[in-house]
Amino acid sequence: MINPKDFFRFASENFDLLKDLHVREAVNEVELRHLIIRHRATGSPTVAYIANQLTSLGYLEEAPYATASMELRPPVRKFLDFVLRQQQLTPVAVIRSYIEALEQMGRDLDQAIERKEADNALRILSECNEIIERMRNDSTDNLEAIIRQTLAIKSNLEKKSVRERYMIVNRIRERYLVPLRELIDIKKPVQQSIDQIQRLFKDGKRTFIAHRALAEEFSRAGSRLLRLRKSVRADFNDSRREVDPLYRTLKRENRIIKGASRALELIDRNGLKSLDLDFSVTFMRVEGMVSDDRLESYFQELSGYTPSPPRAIEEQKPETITVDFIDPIQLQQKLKKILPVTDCFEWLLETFSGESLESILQAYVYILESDNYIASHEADQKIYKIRNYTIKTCPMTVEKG
Amino acid sequence: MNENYKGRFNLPKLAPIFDNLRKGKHICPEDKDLYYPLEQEYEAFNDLFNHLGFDLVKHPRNFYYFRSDISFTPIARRAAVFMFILIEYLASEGTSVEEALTTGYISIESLPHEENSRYQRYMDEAGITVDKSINTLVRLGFAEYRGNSEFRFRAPVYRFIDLCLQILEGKKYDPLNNDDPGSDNIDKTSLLTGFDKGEITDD
Repeated sequence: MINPKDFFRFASENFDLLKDLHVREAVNEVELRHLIIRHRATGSPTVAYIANQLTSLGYLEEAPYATASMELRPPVRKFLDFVLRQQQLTPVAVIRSYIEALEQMGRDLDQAIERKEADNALRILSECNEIIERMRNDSTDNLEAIIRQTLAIKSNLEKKSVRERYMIVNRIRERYLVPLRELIDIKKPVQQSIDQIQRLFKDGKRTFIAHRALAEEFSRAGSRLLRLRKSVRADFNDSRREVDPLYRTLKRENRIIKGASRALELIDRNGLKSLDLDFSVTFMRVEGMVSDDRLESYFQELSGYTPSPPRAIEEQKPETITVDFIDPIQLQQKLKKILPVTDCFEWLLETFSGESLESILQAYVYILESDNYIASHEADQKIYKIRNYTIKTCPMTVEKG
Repeated sequence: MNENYKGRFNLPKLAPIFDNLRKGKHICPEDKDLYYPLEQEYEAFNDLFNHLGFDLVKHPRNFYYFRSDISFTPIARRAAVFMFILIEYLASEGTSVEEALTTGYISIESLPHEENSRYQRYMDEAGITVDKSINTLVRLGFAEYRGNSEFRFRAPVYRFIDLCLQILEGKKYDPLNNDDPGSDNIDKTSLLTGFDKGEITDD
């Protein structure tokens, strides 16, 4: 049997030694001896005595996986976790086991109330209280552990990579916050189980109203359950406030880094020119700037400005104009005076002897196709000479149309 | 010119603002003389530049630049390669990348770009040196020198952060349509569906 006074006195006198043991998983005899010597004050009991006290007061027990090695007993470790604010996160399985235990106790309590078994009800109620308090403590420990871990991630003294830190935060969210939420989300079955137990506590109080002590015990259990709900809810919200901003920051960081690494990987694989990204930097030289005309036209459009008539194009008149064709009006006037003409081509050659062959031919076609005249050709061909050309055609008679 | 439109577009610092933007400069609050006229008369500047064929972008991080139709030009490519290397290096050092890029000074001597053979290969392919890259970043308004041995990034460095996110998403990442540019939305495909809908209350 451990004397509690001796237990706490030893803890008070050897707290630094206990702290050192707390950070170690296990110690062998030599290591334990060194630790005791390191923390032993002048005038303290012998090393062997302190080592013996560690075992006899229930601080240490043999480690199961190594001979001649000792480790802190779990309740002591948990107590030191609490004292040193080094609480560990409660695994999901533990939380689930609490819920399952509560559900089973609820069924047992229901039976005990129905059968009016006061002693049995009191025993079950006591077990329920223990589970409720464990859940509340674990919830608070979770919050402490989450705060400690998020602080460590933020300070990053261990120089962990962004990815590692992101994985840790993600794990905290998925492994610890989600189960915690299940405890308080009214839509989850867990809540229905807790609601059921709350109702049982009320039923019990009513059933055992004549049994005052038991009725009060039911009332106290109801208050504990209410406190558990409030506490878990507050812990959950506080945990989220710690974890969510860090999670978002690290998630974003992780993606930024992955993006940069992906780009470098693509350059490695396919070369720099293979990167086709929507990233532009405008660089415009002076000569590439917008023209004054465009700028001015936009300004005018905006202000309702009416432009003045365009400037006349300046022309330079040549001294003499040479027109390389026979004026049709002049042609018609001359032709009209002598109609009918028996040989039109001959007449053209004589009348417009100064003109080029092209002009004579144009005039000939003009007369031929004009509706003002009736043209007819003789059967025999005739040869005409004009400068260096020889023209062979049937003479054309022209009359007024 | 007509007095009406002369008055309407008599925008403060128009000439130097346009001159800087067309040269690729990113104007942020540190460029007080240029930034505040843009901030105060944004609509008028935007209207004017838009009609002249320029796309003035106001980034959610409060800086302005001209967006070009031609993406990933050599100058942009070179600046990006320098930044990709820097981001990867900062991450490998356990440094918070966004924090390192947006606060504090970076020693030029400490840069890994020409120290690591893999990084040197990328630099060679891009045809850049550390000095040339930093000069380019400074000229475009992404960074600022302090003395000869240090530099720091300015708010426009977020364009490179956006770029990294764009690469990862494999599609166009538009910071202008991102609700919270400082922190992305929680992963909606996470197991934690509905996790971020708010705090649990007593109701």
